[in-house]
Amino acid sequence: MTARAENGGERRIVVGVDGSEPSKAALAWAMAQGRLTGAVVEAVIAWEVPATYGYPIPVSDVNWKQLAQQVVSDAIADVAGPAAPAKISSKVVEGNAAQALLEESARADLLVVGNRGHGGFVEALVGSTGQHCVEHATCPVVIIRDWVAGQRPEGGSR
Amino acid sequence: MGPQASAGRILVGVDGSRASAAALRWAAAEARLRDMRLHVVHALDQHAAAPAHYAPPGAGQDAAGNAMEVSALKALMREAVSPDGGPAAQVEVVAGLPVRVLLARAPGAAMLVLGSTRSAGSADTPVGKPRAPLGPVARDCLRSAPCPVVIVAEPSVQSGAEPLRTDDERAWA
Repeated sequence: MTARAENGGERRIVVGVDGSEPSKAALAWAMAQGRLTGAVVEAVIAWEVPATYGYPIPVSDVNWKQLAQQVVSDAIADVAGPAAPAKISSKVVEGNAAQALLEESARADLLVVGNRGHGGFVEALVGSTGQHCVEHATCPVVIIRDWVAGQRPEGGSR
Repeated sequence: MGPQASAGRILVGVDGSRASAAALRWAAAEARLRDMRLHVVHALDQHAAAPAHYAPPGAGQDAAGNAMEVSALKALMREAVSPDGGPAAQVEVVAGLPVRVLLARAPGAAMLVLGSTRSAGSADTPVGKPRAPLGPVARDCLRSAPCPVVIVAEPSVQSGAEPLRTDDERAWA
């Protein structure tokens, strides 16, 4: 892995999380990689207020940011267990997921994404997002398709 | 994915491009880190630039061309993998369609590492506007490989350690 000197010597792995299974597999992979390299793992989730057509739906009382934070926290708890061993932080970004990941990964050593994400509320994080990241990121991009053996929490059944 | 051998293997495809050299370097570092074996594959697509099949035998410099490739590959391996006691590496030169060759070797690999010839630029390109689409090999591997796929961008001009340097320096000085 290429250490980015301009980054104060600290290695960073950015991983896109949207709560989908591939994104959790990506998170698990990133955390294992973080343990291996001593890098900080930053789990990034992006949210956008859903587009509405014709008439507005009342969304003012929904705290999208908090929901997104909940999704990423749950994913981390899910993957890491209660005591997350890897150095991990999370970040909630408003806006397009691909854009957010590219911006976050600009100073990272590695960007990790699942091969497809959710549609709907939390934005299709990967799929088109993963494709976009692969085409535009300046650091190496890892695309995780599925759980890597031994990384699935609680005795995965795959 | 799947029961992976404990002594894992990192698969990397090389094609002689600067991007694939960067991929090889990344993969070598990763193999050292994980104490895994490096599986370097160079697929020779003999239909890509070969003489027509009806040409008399020996008409093209096919054999010579392959030899060139192999020596370049050896040089690359020395430069990218061995410097400071590289990982165990296996180099394979295979005739065949690169996608098929790579995908055939992907099962059981811890990851598949490929270079992307797009230039690593700034990250602020607007979403939805691909600057340079992924090559067909990387695209198909992304779609079909059973293991994680790592796409390593061609080194940016400043860090490029290879031939094009003089031009680059002139352009970027």
